[in-house]
Amino acid sequence: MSDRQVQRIAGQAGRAARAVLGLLLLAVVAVNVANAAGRYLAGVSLTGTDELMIYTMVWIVMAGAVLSLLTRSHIAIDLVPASASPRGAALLRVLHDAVALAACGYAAWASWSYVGRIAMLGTTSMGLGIPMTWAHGALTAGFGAMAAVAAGLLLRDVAALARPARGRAA
Amino acid sequence: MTAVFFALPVILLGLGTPVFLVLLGGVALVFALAPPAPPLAIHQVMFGGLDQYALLAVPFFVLAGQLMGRSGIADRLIDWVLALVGRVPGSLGVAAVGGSAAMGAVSGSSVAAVAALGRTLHPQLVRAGYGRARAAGLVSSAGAIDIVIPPSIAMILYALAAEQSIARLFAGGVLPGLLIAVMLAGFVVATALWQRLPVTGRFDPAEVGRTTVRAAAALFMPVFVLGGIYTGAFSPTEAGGFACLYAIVVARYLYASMTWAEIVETAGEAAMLSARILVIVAAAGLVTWVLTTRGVPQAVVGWIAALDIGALTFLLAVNVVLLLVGCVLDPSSAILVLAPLLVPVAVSLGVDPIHFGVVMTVNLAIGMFTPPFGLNLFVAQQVTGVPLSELYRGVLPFVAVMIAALAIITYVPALSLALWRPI
Repeated sequence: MSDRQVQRIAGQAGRAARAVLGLLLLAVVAVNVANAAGRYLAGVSLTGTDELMIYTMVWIVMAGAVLSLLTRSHIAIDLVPASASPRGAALLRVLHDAVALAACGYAAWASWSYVGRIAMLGTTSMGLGIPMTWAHGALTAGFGAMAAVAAGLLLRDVAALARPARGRAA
Repeated sequence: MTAVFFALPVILLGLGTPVFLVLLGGVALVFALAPPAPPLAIHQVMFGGLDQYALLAVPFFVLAGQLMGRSGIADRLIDWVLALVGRVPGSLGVAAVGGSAAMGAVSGSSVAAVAALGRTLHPQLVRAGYGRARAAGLVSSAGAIDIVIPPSIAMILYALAAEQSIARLFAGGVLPGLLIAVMLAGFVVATALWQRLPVTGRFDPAEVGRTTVRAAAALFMPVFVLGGIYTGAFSPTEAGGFACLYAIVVARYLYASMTWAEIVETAGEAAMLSARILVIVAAAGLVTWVLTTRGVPQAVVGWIAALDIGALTFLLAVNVVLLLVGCVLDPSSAILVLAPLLVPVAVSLGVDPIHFGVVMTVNLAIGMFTPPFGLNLFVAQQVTGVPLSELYRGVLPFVAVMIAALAIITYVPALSLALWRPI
């Protein structure tokens, strides 16, 4: 498969993922409005809607954070990378990847340990009674995926950094 | 250890590392070198940071703002303001300020306002005799009003970081936002008179009526949302949900300017932007927790108390620091990182935390268009094509006006506190 085909597929996957996140956000809005309107108009408040909205949002945040890491669109002061030479910018990308791998890897490990504990306890949420591992697992999955993305980017960026050096040596 | 915790993040931030990774990496390093608690606490604190109903207001208002921004309200609001102020000297410049204030009450996105004003009004401003640099400077600075006028994402984040009421902060931002708009508009009128710029517009009641009808749906949104919060009908989070619903109805049916596919696409963009902000919320909560367990906020309060400075001197120092920070860091990140450190000091000196939140927001709004790195400047450069070197010159008078407004807002707390009367 050519680089262009890979990029096209990645682009389509990214758009599809963003659309899913958009639909989830719209669903959270609908639940919020229905709950508030139900309370004011019919005096009915649905049990567990707050949990549903918050846990969905946590999953949206972690999934969005993974996609943003993949597209390098997280909030940052990008003045130095923007004004750096191509080689300097490549070096900075390697630095960012390494920091992401270390930080997200550590957070994923800490989160995995925590989720393991609550899985053993079998705790469930108060309103909906869903296993709390589902809610907390968003962080484990999110940071785990970010660590994996960072590892992939690091390998690619180190290889890209090495390529012109080999060219010069030849 | 302290040097590692403070110096390394600053270096990494400067080198363009994403803000949330800098915060998370700093905490991971502290845990690796001298753990203040078992690593499980990292998960617990970050999940706790996100597990808040009030935080839903962020994606809701981001989505409502993006929907309203894409539905074509900007042109309608600018036409409406222009019809109202057509006879005023410098009416186009006043329309830029007024249009931005109106957009702030609807969308709250400074960057979107600069893009819309730059596209719509910059060519007209240049034709009307404003230099192209000054016109671009005006557009850049007018956009900053949007961060102060509610609904404001920066204020929601401050409320969460400082454990304050979102509704009170929204009420606190109204008069300061209007003061900034009035002062910028006053400066535009004064310069138009000084330079004897011709009055290009006219006041036509029929035109005012026509543009008011066209902009009515957009103008009603802040009344509906802020009125609902202020009267206690909705919580800020519920208001955010209703704002989304309202924006969807306006965009899809009233203006018929967006398809369902575009609405979903916009919701996806809003989800991504919210994720980038909220992952910083989670990481910043972790930093705050580490600092608190190590007694840093208490130490800072003690240090400031030992200096024996008053509230006014402290606020002056905060203004200087935040103006510098605002030049390089976006308002959301700056608030999440600095509020937990500064608010305890401000409160210990007798400064109202709501007033302090407004002061912080105005400072960081100024940073949005302060040379050399204000984000609005880069947006204005893209939209207007004015080189940055010229833009820097053009924006300086407006920075001065905003600093004067900041001084008034800082030293007249009543401006930020007068509107809150719980019903």
